[in-house]
Amino acid sequence: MSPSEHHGNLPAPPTAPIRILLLEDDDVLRNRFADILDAWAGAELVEACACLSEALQALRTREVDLLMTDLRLPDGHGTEAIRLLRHLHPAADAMVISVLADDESVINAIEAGAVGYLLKDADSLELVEAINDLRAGRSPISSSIARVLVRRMGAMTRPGPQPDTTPTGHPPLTARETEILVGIAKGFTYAELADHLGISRQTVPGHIKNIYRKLAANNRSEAVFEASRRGLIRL
Amino acid sequence: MVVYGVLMALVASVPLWWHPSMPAATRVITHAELVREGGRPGEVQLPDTWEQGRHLGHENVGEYRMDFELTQVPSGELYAYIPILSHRAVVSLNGSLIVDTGARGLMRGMTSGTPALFMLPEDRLRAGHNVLQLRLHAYGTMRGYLSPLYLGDARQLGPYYRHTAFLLGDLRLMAAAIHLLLTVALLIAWLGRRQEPLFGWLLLAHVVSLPMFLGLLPDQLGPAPTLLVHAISGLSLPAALVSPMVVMVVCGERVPRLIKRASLVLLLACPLITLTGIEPLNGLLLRITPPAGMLSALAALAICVRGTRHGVRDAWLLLPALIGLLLAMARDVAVWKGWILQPPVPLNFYYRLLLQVGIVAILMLRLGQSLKHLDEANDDLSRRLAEREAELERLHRRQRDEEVRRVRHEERQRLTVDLHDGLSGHLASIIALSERNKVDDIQHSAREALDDLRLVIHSLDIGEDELLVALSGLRERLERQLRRLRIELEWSMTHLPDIAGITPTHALNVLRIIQEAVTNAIRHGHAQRIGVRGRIADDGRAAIVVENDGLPFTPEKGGAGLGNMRRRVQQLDGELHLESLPEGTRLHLLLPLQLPCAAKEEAAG
Repeated sequence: MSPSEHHGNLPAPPTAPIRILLLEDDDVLRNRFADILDAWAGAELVEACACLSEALQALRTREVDLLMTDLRLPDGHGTEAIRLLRHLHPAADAMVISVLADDESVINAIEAGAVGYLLKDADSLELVEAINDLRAGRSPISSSIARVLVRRMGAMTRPGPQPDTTPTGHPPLTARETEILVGIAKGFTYAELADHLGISRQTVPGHIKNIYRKLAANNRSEAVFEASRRGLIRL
Repeated sequence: MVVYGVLMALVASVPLWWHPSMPAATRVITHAELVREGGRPGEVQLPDTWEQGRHLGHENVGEYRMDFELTQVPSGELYAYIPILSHRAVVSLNGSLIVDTGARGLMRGMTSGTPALFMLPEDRLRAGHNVLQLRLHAYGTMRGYLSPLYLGDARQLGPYYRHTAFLLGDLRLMAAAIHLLLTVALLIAWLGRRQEPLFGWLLLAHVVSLPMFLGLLPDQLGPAPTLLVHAISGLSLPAALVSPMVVMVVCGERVPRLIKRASLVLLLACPLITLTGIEPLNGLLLRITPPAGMLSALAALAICVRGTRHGVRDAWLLLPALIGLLLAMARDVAVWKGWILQPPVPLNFYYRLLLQVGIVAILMLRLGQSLKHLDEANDDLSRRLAEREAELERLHRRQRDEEVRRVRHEERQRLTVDLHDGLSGHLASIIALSERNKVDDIQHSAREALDDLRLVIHSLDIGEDELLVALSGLRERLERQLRRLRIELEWSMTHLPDIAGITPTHALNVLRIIQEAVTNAIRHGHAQRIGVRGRIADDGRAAIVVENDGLPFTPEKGGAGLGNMRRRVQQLDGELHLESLPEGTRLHLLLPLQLPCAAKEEAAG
């Protein structure tokens, strides 16, 4: 099963630029990314926001294909913007901008609904490549993040029939997804993994995007979002 | 304690205040004519008693002749009731034999004194004057004794007879049963706890006193073999002498070794003497037993009184019984000697029963106290255990806190060293470069600084068996770096053997060596293609080979970078070889399959 079939997130046709909302509180970095995106014909920068409230406002009023967001913001957390994006624009993707891509912050973002991450020192080539990959249904994953995911989803590696949901509250991974995640956690390259599993190297990132989606379909985070949307709790 | 004392005093004083009333509305005969063997007939008042016999085999016989008029007695079936006689009566009415109470018991002690109730057959009664002849046999050293004789019907006399029969028969059997029961109980207690002297002495006292009840045997079981009777009657002296030792032990005193040995000698010698019947020892034994018993009871009383003065509670429990016993013994001797005229019933046997009650009271009290102490000890132990556990828990927590502090300190030290090695150097370069406005170099150095920071952070939680994860993190960073520089990276770690003993420090050392090698290849070798491969070396060690297709390696170009690499390899207990290829350079990093436990200490920087 290819990732595009699975989600219907077909890559944007070359004629239609990707509508991108940028949320980054550091002026220098925001301007740098904005410059890169402005210079790239494939993208249309919807708005470059410096704080969460601006971004939430923009998400409610504008059409967006991709949200690029920092996590720690002066007036809140980037995951709030990701949740609202998932709610208002289900077909859009979310990408986290992180300086270290450390396990905890990236996994929190994945559980909120992000399907990719970008390092803050990424140059223009990396940025464009990352966006294209994401829109094409391919998600990146580092071995250390995979390792944390494998540890947290200990139930996946257990033998026997798969339950409907794992103890952490998301749908179970398929056997193939589990193999890929465990392989990456062990430090194999995509190529080694593809060889070992007898699949195409290009399909590996697609499986990873599926894994992200399943992690994001966490009952708990959905419930929390619903509650916060209705004003029951403050995030 | 008070209740016990009052009860004991009440029971002990029974003979003083309780005298069974004799049947009313009956004819009582208190007057008789006595004919003794070899003596002249004489008038006697009942009760009447004789002198004691001279020796065990002696038999004294006397015949009482009593008259009554039929008109003086109640009509109907006529019964005669003798409250106490000693020891055998053969009764004839008007010349014809009507009853023989039987020669009951060989040992006279326990059974001396017995009641008798018998019918005077109607066909033997004469209308007017009737003569009752009673031939009294007294055996051994016991006195002959005859109480007044009552005539009446069975309904009137029966309850009195049964009452006396209970006191003189059943109660003695009960005493025997209680004695036997206590003996068994003490035997079990002694077997279970030999180190407790009280059990041993009490058991001894009970065992040697058993023959006291031997007199009951012929009544219940028929005559016992004479030999056996002789043998165990030899225990009467040890039985008489054991009580002071028992009281000593009750009072918590140690029985002197000399007395212990003497007891053993007596215990063995006395039955031997009675069994062989050696005179004059045998006679001497018989004669000294009663005074020895008296003396021993006196000694026991003295020890007991001393015990009470020393505040021994158990001595108070024994005291009333001992006093009663001593008085009873004195009374028995007086009766036996004929100093006072009383039924020849040895009261001291009854007071021994009282002594048993005292002993049971002591044993039960001690049991109760032991159980209480046990409970207290249990509570105490539980409390101390809880305190101990709390103390251990506290210690454990403190140890854990210290351990956490230590680990945190070590981690901070390590992190300081690691950041100092990489990040601070890069930042210093950035400052220097920015002063000279070298923008490209600044960007390059900042990227390296950030990469090194990532290297340090990602190696933080690398544990055992996770070198591959650490290497993979490096690969991900190298891929970005080299892609920017359009250098091809060939990476394969599938053939790297497992390396044990990985710590974050080890992992960071390995990563920095590879990073340095790659950096050198880019900076000095102008490589287009870089390969990093893990494999097993010929000597079995793990090998990571970094090769490039740039300029061949020349030692003078190594510089500080090479020195750093060698320092790190040393910490890993590994080896580093540089090989110049016709095109490019190959670096071999050889690592042991078990890395050193603690990273070799080396000054940072």
